[in-house]
Amino acid sequence: MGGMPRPDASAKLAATAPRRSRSGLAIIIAAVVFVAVVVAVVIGATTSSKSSGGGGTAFPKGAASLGAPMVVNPEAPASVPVLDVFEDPQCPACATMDKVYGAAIAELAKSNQAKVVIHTMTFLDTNLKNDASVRAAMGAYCAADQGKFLDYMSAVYVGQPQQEGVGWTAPQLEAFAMSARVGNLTTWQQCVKDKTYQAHTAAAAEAALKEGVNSTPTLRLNGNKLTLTGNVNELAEAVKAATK
Amino acid sequence: MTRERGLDLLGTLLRLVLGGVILVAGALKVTNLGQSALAVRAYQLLPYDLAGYVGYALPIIEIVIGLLLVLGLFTRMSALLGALLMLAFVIGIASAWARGLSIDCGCFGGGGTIGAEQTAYPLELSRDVALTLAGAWLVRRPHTAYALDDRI
Repeated sequence: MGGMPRPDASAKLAATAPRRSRSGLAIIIAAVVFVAVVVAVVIGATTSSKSSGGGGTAFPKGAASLGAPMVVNPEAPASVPVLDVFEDPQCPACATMDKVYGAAIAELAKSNQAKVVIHTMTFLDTNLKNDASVRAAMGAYCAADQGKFLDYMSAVYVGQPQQEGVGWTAPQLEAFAMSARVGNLTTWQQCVKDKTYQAHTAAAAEAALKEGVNSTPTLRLNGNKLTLTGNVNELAEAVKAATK
Repeated sequence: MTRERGLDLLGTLLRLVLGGVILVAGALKVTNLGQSALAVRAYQLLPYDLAGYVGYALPIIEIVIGLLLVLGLFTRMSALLGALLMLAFVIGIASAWARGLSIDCGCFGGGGTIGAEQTAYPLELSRDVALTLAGAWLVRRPHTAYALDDRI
């Protein structure tokens, strides 16, 4: 080869060009990830607050405030134990519990042997990708205005679909109101149609999650976790033991 | 086959296993971010809101780290992030186990409280420890065969 030796630029290019494209790529990837994460967090945060947006600040009879649990018998004397029940309308184990202990719980409330406090949760909607728990809970709160909260929840459990995740149709939810003997069905229908307790249902579910409850049914007697094994007498005995 | 080539191929295998698992885990969760938030909350380690944000962000971060590892791009950095992620999961699961919680790790979707007899802590922990070690290996020796790192 003759002529002037040309300075070899290709080696220099090879050394710098990849470096530049690598760091450029890294910056692009980092930026895309950052944007995607921010979008996901914003979407997640707004969808969870959207569900608590509707319905204003109305709360049903039996709840002390927006998102407060349902006190079935507010007239219970302060001396009796407090029975907290955390339940999700779509939870099969809750239906089983209601079948075995539902009547006993209602009786505890009726006779004021315990102050019965129900916390509705709706995380199974997220789990099963539907909105059935929220709709059933709203139906129950509309029934609560007419003193039929527990009856409505029991009707929901009896009418739970064979296959978890199917949920309920609007006529089914209305049939539950009828079998719960809600006195004024028109009022109940209007309450459901207006989604009057949408915000309340969302706030109640969030409050229960914030209490650290993430499975249903969860029972607490005077704040202590109560485990029932399926014997109907267990509940009455536990309440008796907790009564001072 | 030289020893170097053998180690490169071993690295490729580890990269594909670690990256593949992280990628699949992220992809299975990204379609239900609300569930992911619930799964993180079930560990009861972070405050309510922060746990939610972690739940929303985690699947996306997993998909990106998984993709980078599978492609062999920025292998050392993505292996480091992957190993740290796995280490975090190991700590989370071990702490849930130690505190007597009965939760599903929620690693591949699902998550939340399950029956005590359904928990699979030893399996989940040994899997994540093994994946942490795979990541650590790649941090020490990031050069692998069939990696995009060699091409750009």
